[in-house]
Amino acid sequence: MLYRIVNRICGLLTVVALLCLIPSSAKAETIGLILTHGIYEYERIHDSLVSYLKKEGHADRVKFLIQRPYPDPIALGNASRKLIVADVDIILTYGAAPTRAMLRERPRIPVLYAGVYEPIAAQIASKNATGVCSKFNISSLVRYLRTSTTINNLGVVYYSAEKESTHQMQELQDISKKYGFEIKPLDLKYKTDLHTMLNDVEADALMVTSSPAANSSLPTILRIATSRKIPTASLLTSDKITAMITLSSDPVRQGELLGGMLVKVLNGTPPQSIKPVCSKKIELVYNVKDANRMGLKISMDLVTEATKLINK
Amino acid sequence: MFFLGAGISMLYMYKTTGNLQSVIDLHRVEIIRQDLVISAQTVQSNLYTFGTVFGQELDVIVDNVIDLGDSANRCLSCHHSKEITEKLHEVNAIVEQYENALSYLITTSANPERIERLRAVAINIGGSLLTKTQEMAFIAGQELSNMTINAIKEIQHSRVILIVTLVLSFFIALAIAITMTRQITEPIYELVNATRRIKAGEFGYTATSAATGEFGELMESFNDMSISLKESNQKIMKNLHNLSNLYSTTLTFHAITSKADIYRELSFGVAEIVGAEQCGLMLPEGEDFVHMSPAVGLTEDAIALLRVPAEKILDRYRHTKRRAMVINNGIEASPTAEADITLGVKNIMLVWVRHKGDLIGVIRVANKKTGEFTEEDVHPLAILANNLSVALENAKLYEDLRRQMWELKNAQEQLVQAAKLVAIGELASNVAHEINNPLTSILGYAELIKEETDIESIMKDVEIIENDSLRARDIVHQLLEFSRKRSLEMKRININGLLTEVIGLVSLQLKDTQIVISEDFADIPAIEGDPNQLKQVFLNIINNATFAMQNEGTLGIATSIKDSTIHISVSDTGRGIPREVISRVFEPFFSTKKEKGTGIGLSVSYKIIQSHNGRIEVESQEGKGSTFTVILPIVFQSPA
Amino acid sequence: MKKLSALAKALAIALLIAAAVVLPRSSSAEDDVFLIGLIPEENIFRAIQKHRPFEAYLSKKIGVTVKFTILSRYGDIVDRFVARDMDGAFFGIYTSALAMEKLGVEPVARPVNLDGSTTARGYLFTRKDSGIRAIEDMEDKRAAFVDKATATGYIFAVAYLSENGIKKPESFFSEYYFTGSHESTIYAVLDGRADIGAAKGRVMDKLSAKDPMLKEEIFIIAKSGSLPDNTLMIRKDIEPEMKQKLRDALLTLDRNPEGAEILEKLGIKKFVDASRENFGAVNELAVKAGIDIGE
Ligand SMILES: Nc1ncnc2c1ncn2[C@@H]1O[C@H](COP(=O)(O)OP(=O)(O)OP(=O)(O)O)[C@@H](O)[C@H]1O
Ligand SMILES: [Mg+2]
Repeated sequence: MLYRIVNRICGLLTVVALLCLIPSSAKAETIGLILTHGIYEYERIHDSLVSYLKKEGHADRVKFLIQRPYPDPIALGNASRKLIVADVDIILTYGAAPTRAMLRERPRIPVLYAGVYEPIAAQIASKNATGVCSKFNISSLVRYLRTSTTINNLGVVYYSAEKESTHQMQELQDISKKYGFEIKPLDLKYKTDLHTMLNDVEADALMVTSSPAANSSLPTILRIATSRKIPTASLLTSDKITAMITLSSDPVRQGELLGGMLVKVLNGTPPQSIKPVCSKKIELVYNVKDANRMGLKISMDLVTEATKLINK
Repeated sequence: MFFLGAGISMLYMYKTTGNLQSVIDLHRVEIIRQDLVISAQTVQSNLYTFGTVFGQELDVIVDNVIDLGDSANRCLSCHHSKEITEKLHEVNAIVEQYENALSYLITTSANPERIERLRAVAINIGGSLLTKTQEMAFIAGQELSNMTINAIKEIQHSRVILIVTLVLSFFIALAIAITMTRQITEPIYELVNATRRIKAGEFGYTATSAATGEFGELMESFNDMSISLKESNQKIMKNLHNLSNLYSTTLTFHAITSKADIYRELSFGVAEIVGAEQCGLMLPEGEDFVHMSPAVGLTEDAIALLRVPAEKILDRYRHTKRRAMVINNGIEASPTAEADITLGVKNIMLVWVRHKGDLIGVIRVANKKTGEFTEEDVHPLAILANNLSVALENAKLYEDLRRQMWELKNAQEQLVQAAKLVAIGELASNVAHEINNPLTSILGYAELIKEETDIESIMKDVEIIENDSLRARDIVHQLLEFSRKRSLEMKRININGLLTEVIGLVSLQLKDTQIVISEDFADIPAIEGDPNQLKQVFLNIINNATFAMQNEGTLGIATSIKDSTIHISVSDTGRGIPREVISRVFEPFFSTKKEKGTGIGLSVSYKIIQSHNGRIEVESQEGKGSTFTVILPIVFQSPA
Repeated sequence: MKKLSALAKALAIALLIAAAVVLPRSSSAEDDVFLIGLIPEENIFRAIQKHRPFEAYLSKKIGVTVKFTILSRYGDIVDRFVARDMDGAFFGIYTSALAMEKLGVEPVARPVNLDGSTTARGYLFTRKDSGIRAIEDMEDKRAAFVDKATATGYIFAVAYLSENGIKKPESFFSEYYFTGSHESTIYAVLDGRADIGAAKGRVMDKLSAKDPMLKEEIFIIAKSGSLPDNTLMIRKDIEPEMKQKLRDALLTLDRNPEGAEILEKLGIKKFVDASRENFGAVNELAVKAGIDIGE
């Protein structure tokens, strides 16, 4: 008797579930968004996405449900599950670690990402996900750094729990062998040690990988390095306090590309039939002001090549 | 003596004239500096005035810059104080940068924006060049006045020195007398010095002095004392070290639930504490005591050798009146002697592990690395043995429990599976036609492809087929998903530890606020649960609490045990929850935080706790604060 | 009235100061100076300084004061030659051809580099990891060139494309721009700001001598033939006698100790004769690229 009832309910629910498969087109779709707390680059990607949607006249078709977790695995996992439970229509994630955290929950909902340096290396692969990659050449950043200072020891801030950050670290290790300098790894696994680590490291320059964990502390990292007169290089753009050299994939362009994908998905294209694209626009910011203040040689190569110069 | 005095004053005279020379040099620096400033200012104004096309003024600029470089270089060769030379080098470096920047500016084509930028950078560098030369002027000026004063002082000195020399001859005689007295007092000083060093912790420091007689004796006995102090200090340090090892080993015991882990921890812990080559645990097995694996310093073959009739061990156990056996020579007396000889044992220690008065195991330690086993080695191992018996007992209980759970789960799964089969049968008919649609279309297009000749239309058909297949797959997925209960990944977890982890995260975020965290953890047993999901629950509740307090207050996190449940309460001193909404906080999407909240946190948490057979309770007073209490059963029973 | 005169006075003073600042050394005797332009390749102040003993030497040999000046930017080299009323200049590959055509100058001599070369090559290159290996991979990619008036940094590439059937590079590439310098072009490709670039081989070799990564990152798709680099050209109306003196002075530089010292300072081996015939290859390239030098 009891089984009977259970079976009935099951059958009924299945039909309901199947009905849900048919997309309802008229009303605004809810876009779940993981916007990791305190990362300027991701805010810029998002701003650009929003203005793209406005410009193209799609702003009314969406409403955002935003989660702002801190960049640690538990909080990212929590935010991901919350969005899945909220049953949003499409999920957007910025950065490799948040995207991985989301995909680990195996959502049935389409996931679109941006700000992922190299999706394959970050092990982001899912039938349900596609997005914008932000790959550029780290070797260029090292090259520019070398035009303004001699490097024997390069401190690298990374987070060993993040695939992407570790991957960039590996890339830097390979580059360092070519140039014959040492890498001093600064692992953010123990975030409380950040100050000690930065104050103790003996390095001629400091590089910050694109790890969200590292970048949510970017102002602190840059402040300490600058006070120690150590030139800095960063893979993500920042607000107010900027590294001496920043090389990144232009976040505005990434937002536009992501916007294009989002509109496609809104129009019913399944994400698996959209290929991930790489934004090719590169932003190179040179902070001459700080270089000058730290008494470093001003690299004229950088002054000419930079897409943006901070001089005052 | 008199000549010496005369010599010294001559020297002074010489120095004074030298000083006067540098005063003149400094004046020269000033002239060059002024040159530099004028050239730099000229170039700077050139920079402001010229357009983007260069006419004759380019040559003017080039000449000016070359002049600038020359004047910067000119003073480098003269001798100046370190400070000035440093500044000169700095100025030189900037001039070089300035040249470099100007060079780029003058030769760069391409866009006007880039040229403007180069001009701005060049002007900036020129600016800092002018500042640097200003600083240089300041230092030079200061040095100039210092040197002049010094020169005058030194002239006076040389006058004084002549007079002093006369007096000096007298004093030298006096000095000789003093030196002789010093020889006598030196050993005493040395002794005092040595005592001070010992006081400062430098044990074992020995005084050295060639003193003889009474002083010599005193010295010797003092040194003896110092050395014995050092030895006892070393002993204390060693004990401390042992204690800390002991502590870490016993601590891990209680966190371990697998037996092999216990054996490993014990062996390595003992090896660390005692410093012996072979360490491990023997446990009863049938009629024998056998040695457990893994062990330190024993291969699997060696371990196989260590099998001794229980009677033999028990005999020794009684014989030693339950105190540990220490055999430093004559290992024949050991109950494991047969194997010991093959294993090259020189000395051995056996520590009995007891539970409620019965012998349940033996810690076997052989071949101490530094000499012989002593009472000091026995003591920590006895403590370890006590803890070990509890850990072994725990592990056994846990294994039993796990077996029972597994059996229970199996039985349950069979039941559920049976029910599912019936359900699926009924579902199948409902679903068959849902899947049939895409399948028909797929077949249709597959037929079409056969007739298609151009690649483009084939690709189009394939695309449709792909999409329909995907749709069919989705339906099947949906079904599978539906027929499968979202399973929890149950593990045995220590809730206090889990809370500490979550608090660790949160406290990083609270660093810049006035919120203090107060923890009150009771000794609670491990429970079964899905650690990831439970972490999520606590994170959500704690996040709400800190949000309610904004920037200051106390976040209280407490655990306690009540009947067969554990209670985890999170309290805050925040704004509280109004009575009218308190019943709604667990509703999905209920939020009072506008764009700062989504209203999902608590609803998800509620579901998770429900699936753990627990519940969440809320108490709140508006304006005072709220307390959320999560109640979880100690023994998890999956719902039938 | 009074006010006005005060204003006038102030203006006059301002003008005087401005004049003094901008032209503190305006030489009135420009006429009896033999002015030679130099193409900027490194720090221009260093370059001018290096040429000072050379100036003195040549002045002594030809009996007229010789002065070197900088030709500043690519684009306005020919304009500046006219504007500054120069008597001669060291021109680059394409600018030589251009100057012969437009200014009617004539080749005199050219330096032999320390490695024995008197020529340069252009490279067409990409990043190794771009996957571009041949013309067909280049469609819709972004290209960076140096300047319209460089043989190695532009014209050779256009000729190469044209030979391979691409007649309109501006619509073949998705983006197409000039960076203004060989270095900038190389950096643009290395950074991924452009997919394809063209630049002078020697500049790339110099950069990769300082930067061991460069060789691993760059893939050279094509190289131009050898082109006559850096040629001293003088105006046609210079008296033959003077021209001969100049040529003799240059060609015998390596045969006396004073000259040898100068050459060492300039980092070149010696000077050799140059003639119009050397520029056949350049003209050919321009034709292939569809560029009319006279334009
Ligand atoms: N400790 C607390 N003090 C005061 N109000 C609370 C507290 N905890 C929860 N609430 C109330 O309950 C509501 C629902 O909480 P819930 O965690 O479900 O959602 P939220 O915090 O608003 O959003 P999010 O989905 O980001 O967690 C909150 O908006 C708040 O009004
Ligand atoms: Mg919440």
